[in-house]
Amino acid sequence: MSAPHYDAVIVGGGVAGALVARVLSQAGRSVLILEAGIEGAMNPDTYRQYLQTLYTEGGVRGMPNGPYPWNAAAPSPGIPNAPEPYYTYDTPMQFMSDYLRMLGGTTLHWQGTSLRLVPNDFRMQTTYGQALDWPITYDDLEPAYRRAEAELGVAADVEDQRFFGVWFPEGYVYPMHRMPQSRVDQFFDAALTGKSVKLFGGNYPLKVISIPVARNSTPNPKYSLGEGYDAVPAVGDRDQGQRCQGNSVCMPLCPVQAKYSALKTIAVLARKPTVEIRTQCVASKLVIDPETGRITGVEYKHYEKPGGGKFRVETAHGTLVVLAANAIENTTLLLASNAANSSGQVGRNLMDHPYLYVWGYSPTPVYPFRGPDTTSGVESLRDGRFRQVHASFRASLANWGWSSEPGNQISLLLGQQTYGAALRRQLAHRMSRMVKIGFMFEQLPTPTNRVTIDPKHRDQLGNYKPVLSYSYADYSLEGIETAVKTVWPTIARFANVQDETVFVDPAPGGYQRVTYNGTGYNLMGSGHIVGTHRMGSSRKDSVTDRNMKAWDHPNLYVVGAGNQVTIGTANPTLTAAALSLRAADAMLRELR
Amino acid sequence: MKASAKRTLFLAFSAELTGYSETDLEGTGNVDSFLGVLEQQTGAKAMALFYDAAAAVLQHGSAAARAEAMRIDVLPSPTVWPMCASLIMLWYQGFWPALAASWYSGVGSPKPKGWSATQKIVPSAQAYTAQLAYRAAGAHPPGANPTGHGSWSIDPVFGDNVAAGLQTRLGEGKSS
Amino acid sequence: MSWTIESLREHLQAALAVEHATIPPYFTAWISLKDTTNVEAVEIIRSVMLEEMLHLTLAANLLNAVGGQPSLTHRGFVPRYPHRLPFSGDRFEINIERFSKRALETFLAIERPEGPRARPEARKFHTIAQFYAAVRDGIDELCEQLGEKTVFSGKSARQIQPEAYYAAGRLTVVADRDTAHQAIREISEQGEGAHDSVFDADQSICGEGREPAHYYRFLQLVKGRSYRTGDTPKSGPRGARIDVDFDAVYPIRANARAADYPRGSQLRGALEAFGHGYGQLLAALEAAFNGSPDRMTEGMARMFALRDQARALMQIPSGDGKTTVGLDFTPI
Repeated sequence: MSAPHYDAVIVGGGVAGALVARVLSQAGRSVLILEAGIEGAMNPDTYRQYLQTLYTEGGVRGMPNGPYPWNAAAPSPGIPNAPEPYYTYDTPMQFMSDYLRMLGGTTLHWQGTSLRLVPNDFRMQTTYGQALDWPITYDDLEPAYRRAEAELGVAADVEDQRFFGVWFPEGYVYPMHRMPQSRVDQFFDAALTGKSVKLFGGNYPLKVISIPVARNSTPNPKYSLGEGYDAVPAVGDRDQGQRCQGNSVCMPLCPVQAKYSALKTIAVLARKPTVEIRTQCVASKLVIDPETGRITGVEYKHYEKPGGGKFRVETAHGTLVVLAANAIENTTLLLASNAANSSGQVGRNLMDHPYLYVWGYSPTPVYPFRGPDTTSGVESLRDGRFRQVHASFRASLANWGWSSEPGNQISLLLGQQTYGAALRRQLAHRMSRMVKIGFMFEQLPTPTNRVTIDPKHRDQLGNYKPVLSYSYADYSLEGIETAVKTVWPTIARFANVQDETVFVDPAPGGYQRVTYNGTGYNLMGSGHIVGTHRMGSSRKDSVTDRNMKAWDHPNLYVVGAGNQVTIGTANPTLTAAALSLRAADAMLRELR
Repeated sequence: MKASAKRTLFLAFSAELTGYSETDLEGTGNVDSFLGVLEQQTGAKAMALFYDAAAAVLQHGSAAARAEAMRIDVLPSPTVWPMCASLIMLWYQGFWPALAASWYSGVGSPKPKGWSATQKIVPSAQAYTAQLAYRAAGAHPPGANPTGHGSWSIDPVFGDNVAAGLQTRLGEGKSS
Repeated sequence: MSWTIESLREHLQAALAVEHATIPPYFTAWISLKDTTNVEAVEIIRSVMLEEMLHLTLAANLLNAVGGQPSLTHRGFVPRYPHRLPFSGDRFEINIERFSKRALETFLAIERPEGPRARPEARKFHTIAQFYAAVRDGIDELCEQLGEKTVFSGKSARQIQPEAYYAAGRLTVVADRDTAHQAIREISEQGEGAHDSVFDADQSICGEGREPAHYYRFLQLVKGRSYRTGDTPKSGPRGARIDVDFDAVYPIRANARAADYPRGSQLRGALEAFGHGYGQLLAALEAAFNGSPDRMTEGMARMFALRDQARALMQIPSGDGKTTVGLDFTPI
């Protein structure tokens, strides 16, 4: 057995892996990051190329992985015009979310929403008799949330964010002030102040609250006890990206890199002598000592070209091995290696946030199609007694008008042979009053929602592709029905919005149709992939302990959103980042 | 017809069809490119009809008379109107939507190379960034031209609401 | 000459006008570059322009700090181009023109570093830095005479805060002699470099490396190479090659005027709309500099909108078969 060459070998060059590497390298530890994908967007010329693709390839706009190229050696789901699908399904329902395997990972295309989970999300069983409790509480994770907010660069005002028991230490402020509120936000805020909606368990206020985002806004001079904060600009171009300047596209990439992506952390890591980053290296198997359970090596396939074809098998050795490749890729690697699964939970409890849009016309112009995708939401239904019987949800106010617009309206108007000044006028009249709300619903951990592998389904390098089983439980569907049939009409009434929502059948591309109590709903995924290697207090029903360390192996950590026991209604990246930092602290303690 | 005359007619008729001035259209830098797309996608026969229709409409001085000419000569034409509709889409959304197979057989012209019914031709990145659809509403195509940090919290400083003097009070909006 | 508070304010208002006067030319050169080519030239000119905007804001902070009231909307604030800077001694004119070798030569002349033996003289000086050096001496003299508190009588609420300004460098809040010196140093060194150095003294940000001063940034485009750490004014730039395609620019008419076109014509209307937009931008900035800093958001929005208008004007044929319309910054 050859001696470990690195303190830690990290599988995955996304936000989780980058943050672990950051903590370890800051303490002088040696780290190897193995990234399955290409360097891609890390290179400024390639970044510009992706941006041009966004302009010239109409079909890729609005798709999370729009301009990113197909890589047969490390395929990602959701690449437009891919020669073959990456997911296979064991169920009629499909898992609707995708991710990106490239240096920087899914944070290249994420929206940047950085919400914390609320305290009850950690104790669903105790509070509502649903799901399970986490082995840690909000209080336990709070310090790591602050560190994640520092690293990602989150813009919010604490005064807005104290609800449902979310607390901050005395004197804490976010690195940057909240993103300026859009006219859409102002409109709904005015309409809903003081209003409430009746749900199971009582009246719930409808409050419009700014969304914390990892996107550059005005630094708060009070940050870090008056040290202040320097907004991190674009990688390799300090004159770009110090502020969101309203390019109106965040996904699939921010034209100026005002939005955080893991590239910003990786840029710092790349300058450290104890950090090595290797791209085009797909981890394929963990080598395990049968007696001790130690991971003695990470076998990976180092390919020359993204088209697939030639590759070399190499092995990396580390004192510690960290899987940070995302909840699905961590799973396929563990299953392929027969690792960490005495509980049988690896791959199980796959969760996403089912997502649904409603839309209409505001009575007066609110001028959408400007600014970030969303700057505020109705956040006051993220918790409450109704969680005994149905899912909680949050409602993002959309700043970009209705989906597939203005294209649909133009086609409609041209279909009526409206042209010229009349077309210009009528289109502007409609566009300036388009409001849309995106509801995001929690799912409970369900063992049969899972990721498995099958020797029949492998990619060109011979690695396992994920096989997915997925469904929506009544708990979520009941929440969806409540949002669509009670909450949205209530909001529309207070705001005097003319409801234009129609769930067309069959569902359009990117949506899937679900019928509940006789009504059809068109659902998307949120891009949130959670739960497949959850933490717990017992090795019997979880994959890792409360520090993201695998129960079954003395030197294996599995980190990311896969550790989450429940999904709540928070976009998972901030939590995944906090968990990664927490895990890295435990790793440092071990390495001492 | 000389190339410069064609261009002049194309520009004037595009202004009539889009509701934007010739100067606005010149400012996109796409006039020559879009004329090229129109010619290439429709062929000489259809273009002759297009220019005739354009001249017939534009000979009238008043907007009302031109609208009447459009109603009589262009809107009912199974050849010319679809060309106009695709051209309007090209100006408004930066892509040329394919004309139907039946249009080509109706005109008696061959389909252009690479034609498909669901085709959306984007002639250049500039066609995308200069889309007219957003302008009147005080916005820009996604990713094209930023409007400035915080600009979304105030009314647009350009667009038809501004031009018409109907702008509501400009100011830093505040939510609670 | 002997300084008074009044003459100090006059000089700082003049500084405001001088800082502003270079912005339309830089802006025009920047937009005239077709941005898919000439990537380095675009970045360099844009970065210089952003820093001039920082200088404008610094000048406003200085003027506010000594109890003045920045004015950007009075007749004549926007000069008529071609324009001679007040201290250029009739040596060169600044035009509103496309990026070109001639434009670059003009920019070099504007940013020329002061010689080490140049004595600061207000009213008779050859570079912007000499002007500021004189102003700095004036501040020191007045503090000596009248006391610091009397000189710096302005309300602190009128200062534009660093967080409000992004993109380039550090915006100093000016409240006393030391911060005034800091602000002046920021202006001089970004423009001309610290003494005998290609680089300004500002420490690297995010470890990305130091930025050459404006003069040397432009010189890179003339010499076709970039400056690396270790290069000096004597050695010249020895870094990576910079290829400049002087043909990949919009062929705009220099110093265009709305009045060149018939009243009521579309082209005149388009130029006047640009002038109107520019006037509104200056009005928003003036309001921001005079106690309503929240108007900066509107100012920024108007700046971005002007960029789009400018690009359009650079593509509209002027009618002579060769050039495009160009820009007229005269506020309407």
